[in-house]
Amino acid sequence: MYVAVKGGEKAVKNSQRLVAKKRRGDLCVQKISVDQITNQLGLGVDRVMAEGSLYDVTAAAMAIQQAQGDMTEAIFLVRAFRTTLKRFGNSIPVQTTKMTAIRRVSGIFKDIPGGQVLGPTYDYTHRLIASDQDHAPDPPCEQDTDTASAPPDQTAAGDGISPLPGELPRVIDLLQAQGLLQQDETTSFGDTAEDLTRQPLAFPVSRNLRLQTLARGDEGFILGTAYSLQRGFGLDRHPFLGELKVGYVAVRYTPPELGFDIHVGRMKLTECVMVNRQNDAARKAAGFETGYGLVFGQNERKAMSMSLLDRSLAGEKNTGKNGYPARDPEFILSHCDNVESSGFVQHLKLPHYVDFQSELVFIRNRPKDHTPDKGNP
Amino acid sequence: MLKGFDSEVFDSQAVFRNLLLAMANPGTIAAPDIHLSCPDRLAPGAGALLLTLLDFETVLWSDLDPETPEIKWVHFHTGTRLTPAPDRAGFALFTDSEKLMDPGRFNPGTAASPDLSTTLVIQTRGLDQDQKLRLTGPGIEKEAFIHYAGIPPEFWENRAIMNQAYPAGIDMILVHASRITALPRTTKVAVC
Repeated sequence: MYVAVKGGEKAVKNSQRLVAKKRRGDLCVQKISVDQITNQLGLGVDRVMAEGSLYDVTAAAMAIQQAQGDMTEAIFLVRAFRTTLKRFGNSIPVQTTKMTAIRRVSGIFKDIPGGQVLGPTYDYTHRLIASDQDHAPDPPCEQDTDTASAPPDQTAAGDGISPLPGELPRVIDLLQAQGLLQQDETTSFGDTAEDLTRQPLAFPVSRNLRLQTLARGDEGFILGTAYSLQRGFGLDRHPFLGELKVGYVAVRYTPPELGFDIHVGRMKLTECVMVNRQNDAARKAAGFETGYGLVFGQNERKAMSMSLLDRSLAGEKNTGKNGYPARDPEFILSHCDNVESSGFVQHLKLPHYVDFQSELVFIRNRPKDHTPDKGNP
Repeated sequence: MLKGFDSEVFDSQAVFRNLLLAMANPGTIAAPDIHLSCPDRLAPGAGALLLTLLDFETVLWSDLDPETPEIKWVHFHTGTRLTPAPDRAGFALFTDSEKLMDPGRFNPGTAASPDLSTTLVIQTRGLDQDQKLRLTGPGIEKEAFIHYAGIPPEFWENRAIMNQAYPAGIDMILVHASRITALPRTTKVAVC
């Protein structure tokens, strides 16, 4: 990964001054605050936290401001900040079944236990840029008694929406109860789990590492490759949305010297389960198989794409579809990280004077009567 | 239970800086300017290194029993995991250099990931720059000399054999009292 670039000291300093000036913009326009970003650009903050692999609302908002709204740059800043943090232990796996949901839908059963709850979504908006929105007066600022003591993003009620009942039955359990689901690979937790941020990605990749890589992968890349599956580049059956849920979970940790678990915080998560009919050729008894997606914050597009890729990368052999990019773990997992991708593509801006000289020398030393190769054997 | 560093941040950074210096210049004796009280059998230099290098994700092997005050102290301050299997350790502590084992019993890493190797922390009985061991290799301009008291001579033969598998190999940090030196796997050691 390319991190920093060297150059003439004075030129670099001037460039840094210029970027600071550009970032501030017109001095007659009021500067935006981190609070404004966390409150009014919440989905952007969610994306930076997810791909930055760090659940820290303030750090993500500061990064967005410092990067002038360039999300990939903000994600880079958060990743860099993350490496400086002291790690003190692994939390107990969060229980998404006990999630305080603010949104939950299923595309496979109309009457799911607990009901379909739209919650905050752009799905039903008209996608018209509303110019009057800027001028509409805000309702008077009332301190919600439930949230007075907590920062706005830390409580579900902070979104101005009352949370759903504490525990919603999982849609997928309905299929499970009927024996229609294939049992997935067992995953391991805590000390025994692999950690993508501590070890290099080596193939073949376990499901643990696959999901970790997808969860911090670039939203655009994950979305585009998942779309390629749907368009026929690797999937020949219609996938279904088993359940999509957005809400808050409690994070618990057991300090070794205490011996009992304590609540250390809450985080917003988007969880998705996709359902697919199994390949008949595999002759499996169950009938359906699932793909899983879990992302920091609210990002349904990413969680759904992740679930599609989780399934396609599970690597059922001999389906005749393995040649497609979205079925190839090495292709997807090695290229979905935007900090890595951006570093390698952008390193081409660095001086390559000597490398290029060698190309020139090669061309100039070619025999004079050289004719272009027609590609004939 | 004895306390750890006076300042977790500044002391561990000072120790790490000194270790970097010792690793980059084999044969150089570094002495971190910190104060640390360790349990009996643990030299202050070794204690400081362990507090700096270990955390809840590292795996430590030691010639001491896990129930000794020394290991309990290290575990309390770092949260490191302990292993009885030398080849699974990321770090290994020898408090008694007379009982050094063949370094080949530890994990030398692989050609693809030589960084996965075990790093040995060895407490010696004395450390000076007498012309007993001649060091050559990266980080040494021509040659450097060092003398460690209480290391069995066959240890150096075993080390030479094991390091033939370069880039796999074992890096070592040798300590006496609060002074530290390092022998990375690239350093060639000749007994004079």
